[in-house]
Amino acid sequence: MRYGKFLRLVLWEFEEIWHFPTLELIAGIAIFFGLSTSSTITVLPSARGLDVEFALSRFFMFQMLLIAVLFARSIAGCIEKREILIFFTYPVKRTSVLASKFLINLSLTFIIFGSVVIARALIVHLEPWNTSVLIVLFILFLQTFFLSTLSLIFSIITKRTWAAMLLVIIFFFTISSALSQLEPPFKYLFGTDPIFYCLTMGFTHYTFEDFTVALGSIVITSIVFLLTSFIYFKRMQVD
Amino acid sequence: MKPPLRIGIFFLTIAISLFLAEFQRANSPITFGGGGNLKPYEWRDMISCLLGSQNLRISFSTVNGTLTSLYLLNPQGLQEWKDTGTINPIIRIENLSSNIGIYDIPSRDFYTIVVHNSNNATEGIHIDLTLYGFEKDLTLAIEIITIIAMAVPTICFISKKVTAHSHKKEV
Repeated sequence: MRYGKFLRLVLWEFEEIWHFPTLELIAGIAIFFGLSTSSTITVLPSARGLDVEFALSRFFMFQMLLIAVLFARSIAGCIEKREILIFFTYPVKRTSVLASKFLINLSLTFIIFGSVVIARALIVHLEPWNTSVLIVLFILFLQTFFLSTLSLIFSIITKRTWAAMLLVIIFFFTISSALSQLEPPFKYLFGTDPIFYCLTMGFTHYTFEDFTVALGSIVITSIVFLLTSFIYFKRMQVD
Repeated sequence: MKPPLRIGIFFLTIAISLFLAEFQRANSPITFGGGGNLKPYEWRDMISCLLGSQNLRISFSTVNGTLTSLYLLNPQGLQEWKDTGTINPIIRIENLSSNIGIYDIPSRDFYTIVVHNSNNATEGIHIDLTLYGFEKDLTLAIEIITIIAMAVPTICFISKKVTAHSHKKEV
């Protein structure tokens, strides 16, 4: 019964945010960004794995903008338009409302971009269960999870659609330009390259410290953002 | 919007974006090559590459202008050549001192270019390859997705009509 309510919330969110033509446009643009470049002709599996990883950097900007817009519309928009008050009158927990919004947006974004990564892998003759492809999918998940929690916290704190969207973009560019000035390993905070290279090729390009800093910063920050968002949402007052 | 129609439009959007991506890929040729000196009567696997099912322009020339042969082998052909010495190529260019030709790659796979110097003197060879054009497997995927996009709403519409018709008859 509890799962039934949660599923209904998820379906409601899907119909509200992923309505026609949002899903179609996002899938179309992701396919174009991920597959339009020529693929490698090399026979080396590591180089073909790099080709698949390259797809991530091709659609990163689009992915970031998309997640910022989706979460701002889904959560900040819902609070701004006071639709959230209707949810609060239902016999469902506040955490279930937020979890349904978070999960549907996170999972659909990951499924769309993950499918493009798998298609790219098939084009370069790598099976989807190949280690390099699984590592790229893992990195894609980390990237999507981090961006989703970042957008989630800004959406809840600002409670305004445009403010949430802009803050995510400004925050991202400010942080990335500030981090590029730093020395390793702090230069690799929130970076995915050290994770990919260390997991596929060992510690030849990056040190263990770089790897730990990159992976740890993404995982810890995402968890902190997620927990803070849920705690804040649970106690949040809507005027 | 009704679910079958939405499914149809979703698949159609995927087909259109795949077509645009394929068009972009078809118009971005990949050029690569190799070369080296071949000893008298030497056979050598010169270039190994992953080729899509596109057009392959092969251009080769020899330094001294003596007759040389070039073969493009798939993995089975390469294994057979290594095991038994029998050459069973996809593309065969024999006894030419230079040549430019456009060939069709049948499927996406790993291919190896094997060259043979049939003379009793050392010969230098240079090979240039350009891969371009529409990929047959991607085109097939687009066609299948388009058929699904058309079929899902059509089948749903027909089955609905049939059900309504039989229900009307019963009444």
